[in-house]
Amino acid sequence: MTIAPLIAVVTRRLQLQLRSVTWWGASVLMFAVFAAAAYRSVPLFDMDRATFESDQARHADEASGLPQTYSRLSLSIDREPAPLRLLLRGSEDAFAASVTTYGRFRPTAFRGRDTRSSYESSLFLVDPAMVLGLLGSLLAIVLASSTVVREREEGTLQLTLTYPCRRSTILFGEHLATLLIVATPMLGCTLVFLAFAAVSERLRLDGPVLLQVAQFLGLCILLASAFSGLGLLVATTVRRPTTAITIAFALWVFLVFAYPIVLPSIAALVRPVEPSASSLAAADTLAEYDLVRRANDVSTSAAEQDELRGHLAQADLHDSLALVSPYSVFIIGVETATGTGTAACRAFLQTVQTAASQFRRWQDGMLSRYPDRATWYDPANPPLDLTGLPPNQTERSGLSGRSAPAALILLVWNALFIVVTQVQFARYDARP
Amino acid sequence: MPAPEHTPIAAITRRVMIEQLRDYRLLVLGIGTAFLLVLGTYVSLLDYAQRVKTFALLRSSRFERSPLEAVLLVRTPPRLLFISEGGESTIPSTLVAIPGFIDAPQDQITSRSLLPSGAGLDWSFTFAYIFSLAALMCTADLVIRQRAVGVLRVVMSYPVRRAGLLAGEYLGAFAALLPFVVVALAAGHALVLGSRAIEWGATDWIRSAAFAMLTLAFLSLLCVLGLAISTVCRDRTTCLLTAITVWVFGAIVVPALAGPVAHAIVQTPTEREHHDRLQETQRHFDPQIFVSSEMLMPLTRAGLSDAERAALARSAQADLVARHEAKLSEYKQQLLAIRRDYLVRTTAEARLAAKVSLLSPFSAYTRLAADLAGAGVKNQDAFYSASERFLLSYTEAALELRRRLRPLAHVMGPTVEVDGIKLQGVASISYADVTVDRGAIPTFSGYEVPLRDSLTAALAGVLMFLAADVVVFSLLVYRFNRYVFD
Repeated sequence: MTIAPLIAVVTRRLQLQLRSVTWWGASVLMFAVFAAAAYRSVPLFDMDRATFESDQARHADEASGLPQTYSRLSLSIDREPAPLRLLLRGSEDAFAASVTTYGRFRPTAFRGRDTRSSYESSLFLVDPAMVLGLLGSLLAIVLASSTVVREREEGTLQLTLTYPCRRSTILFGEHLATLLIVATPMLGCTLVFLAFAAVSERLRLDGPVLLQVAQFLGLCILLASAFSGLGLLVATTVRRPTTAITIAFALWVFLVFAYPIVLPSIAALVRPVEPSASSLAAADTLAEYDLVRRANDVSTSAAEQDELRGHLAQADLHDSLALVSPYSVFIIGVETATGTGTAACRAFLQTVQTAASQFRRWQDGMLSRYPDRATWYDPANPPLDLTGLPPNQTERSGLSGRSAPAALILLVWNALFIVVTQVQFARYDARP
Repeated sequence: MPAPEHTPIAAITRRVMIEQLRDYRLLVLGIGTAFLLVLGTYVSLLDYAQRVKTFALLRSSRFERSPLEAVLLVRTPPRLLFISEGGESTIPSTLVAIPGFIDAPQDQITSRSLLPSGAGLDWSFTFAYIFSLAALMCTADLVIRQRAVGVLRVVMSYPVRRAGLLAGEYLGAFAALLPFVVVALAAGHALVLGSRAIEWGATDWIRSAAFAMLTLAFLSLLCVLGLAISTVCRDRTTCLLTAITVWVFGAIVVPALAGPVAHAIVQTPTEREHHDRLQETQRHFDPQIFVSSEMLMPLTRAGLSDAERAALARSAQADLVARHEAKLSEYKQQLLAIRRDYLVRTTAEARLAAKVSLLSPFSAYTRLAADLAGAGVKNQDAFYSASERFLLSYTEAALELRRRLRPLAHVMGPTVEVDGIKLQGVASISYADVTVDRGAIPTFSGYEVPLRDSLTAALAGVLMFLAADVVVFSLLVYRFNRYVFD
């Protein structure tokens, strides 16, 4: 590939776009909406931290007491909020942040962070990463769709094709320039925000977090590239700029807006989760305000865990169906990278199950040795034998995400769009 | 004087309508809208059936506690979910009433879906976010298209004012949308009525007609906005880009900002904070009424007969229980104050968010459609109001029954005994083992969002959109009177 014509194409396109109202307008809009989303995200993150710390302190406090019966013992597993929840809260927002198991004496208690009010849940509650995905993809597809076809109409395409290089180089230059022009505001927003988070000591930029940030930035670039490729495909397929913009926008509406919004309904219909007695169990928690203790029915715990698995399976189906849209793949990738997605939920549930069975085994062992001290308290008894009692745990699943599969799928989309566009452009009639 | 159908304005209207109907964008989006609306109706009906099943399960399940301790109230799923889902899935579906207090239980994590909060593919969504594109984008280049091919100059030679010309363009563009709206709504109704999944009554026809009016008013505003874009911009590409910007701003940006803006101003406590406050109050509350041997001294004084002593003991015991209940009542007053504060603030936030969303016709339309269908916040408010009313009768009946059945209740607390006379302190009183005739407890019979509220929402929406039509059209005429044809 000859580098000079490529640079010439990229430079010319960059100069043109930097003068366009579309780019400036979209960039300012992106900054403004991103800032608004970040403004909401920061206090939510602070609340997550505060909730986590208070849960941890409460559980440590409970563990440091001197219980006299084995029924009063419990094991808690607290999940540390993922550092990059600042960018995307993901599906784990609906999942447990703290779990307490009581062995054979009470159902396992799952508690969420619940840092949003009940009225706040809405269709358009967007996180900063979603703003970048929504507006970045729109900017990419609109800018790319008006390149080749507009040049053809204005007659400059024939001139460009006289450059001493292949058509593929010209197209690649257009693609690269669009990618640069779109990725700049996306990466700018992210880096400014993360710098603010680091300076305000909300984020410690150590190795794992930097790796997550790198994954996030990579996904942003891949998303912008995919939509730029799709825009170029449209531009090389139709003959009029207005048609190109209309089709590009229609594709964006479908891929970024309509499909991801409708997808949860489809997943819920295809893989319904039958309601269990958990709602009634939830009712019991409030009945405690009448100060009467609930029955020790551990069977509800198993039913609730079954329901939890049902929801995880439903989320998996959703993630599989989401592969149709590069935007959805981007969101899933970011969720995975930041440890806020279904995988993190599953990992946490696994940790909980392992810890709960370990605690149950220990409790059963102790009860077989001291059967009379299960629930009966006698002041004359010596302190409980706590040898081998598993300690409370803290889960840090928010640091272990790997977004390689999502990145790979985005790469496949990129390759598909670019190859088809190259084929289209190779036989493109450049006459106005 | 020509007949109305032969005036120049009518001719322009006819011509524009035919042109628009031949526009592939309108055809694709119109047919797509009708298809999506039918598909969405089918999905909504299945979803409604699932909700009804869950509702019946919760209503019919014997709540394992004694009704003297708590009853479960279940929110009725709105029947017109296919018109607007309104965020139903994000709203608590049950309330628990205990005598003297009511609140939404903190829902179990296990019962929560991990799916992202999406929208139902309901009628309001389809019109607001899919068909709106047709209305906006097909009119956004209407004038500029005619200018480009020179038709506009010819049309300007008609013996009619420029405002009349614009009215013709607007009426033609709007009329071209009507067949698609009519076909989509007719197909949706046919599916709803044919499936017999819901009981369809006269009031539903009225709501349905009100929804059609609201939709037409919304679409007419989009047509006027599209025409405005078409007269302001000087080339087709700019027109389309401006239309896209308007759509993105109105359909995504403003609705996305409405919640955070309202939250930043009102600072509502979160659900977690609310429940933590309730639990904190519980932790600091000690219901225990202690008993000591000194309390028995008056009963052991000399000169009392056994009967008098027994009567005094019964009275002292009843006094202890009454003191426990008075304490409990005071505690529930504290809980109620916390709940009231939470509800007042969250409602204020919801109202403010609703007002902010009125800045965009898209979110205003979907919100008004949800109110019209009695879904979402409107349904929740109706449920809460009905539940609060129920709580009064329930508390009265439960407390009366508790008084009568107290000898059967399990009173927990330490006992002291002097000279064979026993007195028991009260830590708690459980009615879990007491068999209660559930018929003696009032039942929560359900509720419905009044038709008047639905019609008010629809009327407010229609008037708001028509007023916006008039304002934008006036500005448009002002602009068009200065339009240069170079």
